[in-house]
Amino acid sequence: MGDTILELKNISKSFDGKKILDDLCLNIEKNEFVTLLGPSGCGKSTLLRIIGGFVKPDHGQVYFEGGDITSLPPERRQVHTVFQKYSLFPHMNVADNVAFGLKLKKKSRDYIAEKVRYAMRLVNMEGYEERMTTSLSGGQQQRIAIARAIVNEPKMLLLDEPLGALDLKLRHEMQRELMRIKQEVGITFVYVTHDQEEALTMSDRIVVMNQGIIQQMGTSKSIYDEPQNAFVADFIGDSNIINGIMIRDRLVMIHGVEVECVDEGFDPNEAVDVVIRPEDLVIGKKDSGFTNGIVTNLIYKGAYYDISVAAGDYEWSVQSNVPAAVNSEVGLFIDPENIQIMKKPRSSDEEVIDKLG
Amino acid sequence: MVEKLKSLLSRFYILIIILFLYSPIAVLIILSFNDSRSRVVWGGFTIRWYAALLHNSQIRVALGTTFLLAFLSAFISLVIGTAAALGIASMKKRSHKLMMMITNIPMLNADIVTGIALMLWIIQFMPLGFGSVLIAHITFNIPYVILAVMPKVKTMNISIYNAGRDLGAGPLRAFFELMLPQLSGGMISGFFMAFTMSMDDFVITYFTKGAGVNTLSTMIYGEIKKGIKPEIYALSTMIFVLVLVILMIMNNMPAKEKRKGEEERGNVYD
Amino acid sequence: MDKVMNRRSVLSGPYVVWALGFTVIPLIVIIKYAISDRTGAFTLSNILAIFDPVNLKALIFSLEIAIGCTVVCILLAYPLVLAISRLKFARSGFMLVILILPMWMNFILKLLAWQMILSSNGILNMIIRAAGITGFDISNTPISIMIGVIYEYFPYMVLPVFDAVIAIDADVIEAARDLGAKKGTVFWKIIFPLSLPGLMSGITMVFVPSMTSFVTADILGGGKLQLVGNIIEQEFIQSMNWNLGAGLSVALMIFILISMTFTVKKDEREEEEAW
Repeated sequence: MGDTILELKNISKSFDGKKILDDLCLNIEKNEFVTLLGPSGCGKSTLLRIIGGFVKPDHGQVYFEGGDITSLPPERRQVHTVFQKYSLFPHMNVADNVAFGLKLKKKSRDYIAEKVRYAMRLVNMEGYEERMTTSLSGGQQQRIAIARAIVNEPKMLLLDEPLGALDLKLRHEMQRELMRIKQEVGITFVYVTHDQEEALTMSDRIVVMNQGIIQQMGTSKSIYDEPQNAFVADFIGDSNIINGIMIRDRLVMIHGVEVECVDEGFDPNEAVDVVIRPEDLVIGKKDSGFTNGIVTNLIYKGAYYDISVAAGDYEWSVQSNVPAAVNSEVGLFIDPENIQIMKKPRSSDEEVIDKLG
Repeated sequence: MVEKLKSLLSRFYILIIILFLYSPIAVLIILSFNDSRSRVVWGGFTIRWYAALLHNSQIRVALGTTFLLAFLSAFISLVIGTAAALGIASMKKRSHKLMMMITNIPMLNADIVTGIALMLWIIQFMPLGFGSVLIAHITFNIPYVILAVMPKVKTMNISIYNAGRDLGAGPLRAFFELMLPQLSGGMISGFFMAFTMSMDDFVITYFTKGAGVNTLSTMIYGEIKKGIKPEIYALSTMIFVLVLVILMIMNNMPAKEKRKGEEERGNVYD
Repeated sequence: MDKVMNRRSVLSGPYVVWALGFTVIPLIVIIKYAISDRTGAFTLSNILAIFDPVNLKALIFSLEIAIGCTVVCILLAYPLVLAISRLKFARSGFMLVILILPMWMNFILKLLAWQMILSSNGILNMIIRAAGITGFDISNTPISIMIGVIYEYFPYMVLPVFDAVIAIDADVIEAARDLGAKKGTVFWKIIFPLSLPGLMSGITMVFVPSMTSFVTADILGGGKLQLVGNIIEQEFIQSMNWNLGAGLSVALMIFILISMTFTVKKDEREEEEAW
């Protein structure tokens, strides 16, 4: 893996005595699409701003292509940012916005014109060159912001919740657009979002952050299928997370019932978190599953039904293709392979999930 | 290191400007404690001008006139100006533009021209006096109120009025309890601006006052040749300190209103 | 009231009446005075009197003072605005307090205080002489008038510029840094152009009163240096020639109007040529 473009070493940062980033290490490969994912206040934006050069870490170093850039001001970094609020220059037209960086570099008029034309085509905004930025829609403004950054041929593009202000339909469209642009220019993207669906769709690698530390790192599939702790499980997709006790390898007790699973390597009788995705639960006849419950709620969601089943003191969330009558008693089935067993969090950092409720 | 120096330099510059703005005020405050009628001789420390202030009826009358004028003109301007801002904001583009142009006239015109024009007009139907000065002050104050209130009107949520009516509030109640609070910020600063402008005005008052009426400004102007009474310094010092205290209180009240997101921002290496 | 809320434009009724009665009509009246002689007959001589050598000299002197003061105010205001926006604590409140507070001291008294500071035996000269420099005296010179005028109108330049600068989104400035602009470039390419509306209203609010501030010229100019305001005031108060005074006022108005449209036009062109 000699293709590391950016290396963050032991980064810490506090604001007003509050720790935002805590001894964080992260390597980013060339050409990767990395997403920093986490709830607001988890430190992901601060980390992005440290890479961009807008915030200086209290401790730790930032290496870019092997060179220490920790103290380099933003204007001297080969990294450009696309901001959430677009931040186009309101006193310039679209073409001047896009040409801003190239003009500062004193490129020739022809070169600039050529580059601007290319960038405008890249973001599908040809013909808007003379428009004032204030007359554009949010989606159009964000396209220009991307063009304005890309045109300078940065080695890395930082995107700070760039689609956060757009409506759902436009967001989906822009996600595809971003992946296309990424493919065409072939540079590293570091993307910040709190939207897990966005992260799962676009990223080569997701970095789940909370309370200033990395909770889990991996591909979309590994993060979704094998969350390493309750925070990740809860934050990525919907999850049933209940207390369980590991009887022995491949056997866990939930609700006083022993259920088969595929996890090994826990201490006998260790208290664990059991994670089951709602779509993995199946509703059947009473007394036929691993537990019984009363259907308390049924919501039609178009592609599936969202069903709540109360069993003991826990309310299961189930996604099912078939409805179940409210107040009826049903059984719940689960395939052992779809049960995730996780160690209980030890540090307070990992316990946010309890606070999140 | 360079940053430290720059920060030091900019603080030093602020200090120089403050020195420039406040040195004449310091001179006046010192004069108010000077035990001599002359402006150029220091006769020792005294507070007798402050005591004498209580017995000087001429100053008392001028002070009363000044404050009454400032209050009345600011208040009437507030009422007319706020209503005007509401009205103008809902006008069609052309009349909107025309009204804003007229509003700008007293602000763009030289004070002396405004004062003379008002004087030439008002003497045609009434004698100059307190009334004419009041009219003049209202005239130059309304634009300040309109300009202060207008931004609030533009961001105001009109549907709140309809929601209030829908929930059973009477029209007047809906207006005063739901609409005006949305404008209160602009109205307060508009009133304060108008009050200050009225207190501070000399030129327009000078041309529209006629004989017999004096504000502090015109009284002081009339005394330049004879020599300023030291009581005036004492009075100015007192007003200055009073306003200083009021501004300090006002400024410290909404202190902890930090914009969200600010804490993640930090400094941009500067 | 419901009807009023639906047709809110009627709320501006009182103001429309007021503005007609006391802004528009007075302008018509002063123009009427300006274009008549004492008998009421039509004449342009009152307005054209601005070209009499004495009056023209005052107009040109006023123009010099006004341009000088406006330029100095701009040069002083920007560093102050940038310095204050660097401060972390309650920025705008602090700015407002230090600028507005002096306005509550009567301005004639403040001018008299400046007279004491600047006069031949004044505080400034005492300090300078103590430093061993002699022969320095700016009392009763255009410089001393300018100090008075700048002192009076400086806040009117700072406040609108400050408002405009503070309103610039921090992200926009960061975006410029991100795209390779150094701090100086950020000022000239981003902050300055975006502060232009504030600067324009600052210029109007300083330039116009600078030309006519006759009390300042009286007190700090020793009575020998005359602004166009002094001439107009004398026609009204001493010579009692209202027609001539009105004529000169209208001439001044026309002059200011022309120079203002010139500034605005120039500004628009510069904005287009920003790159």
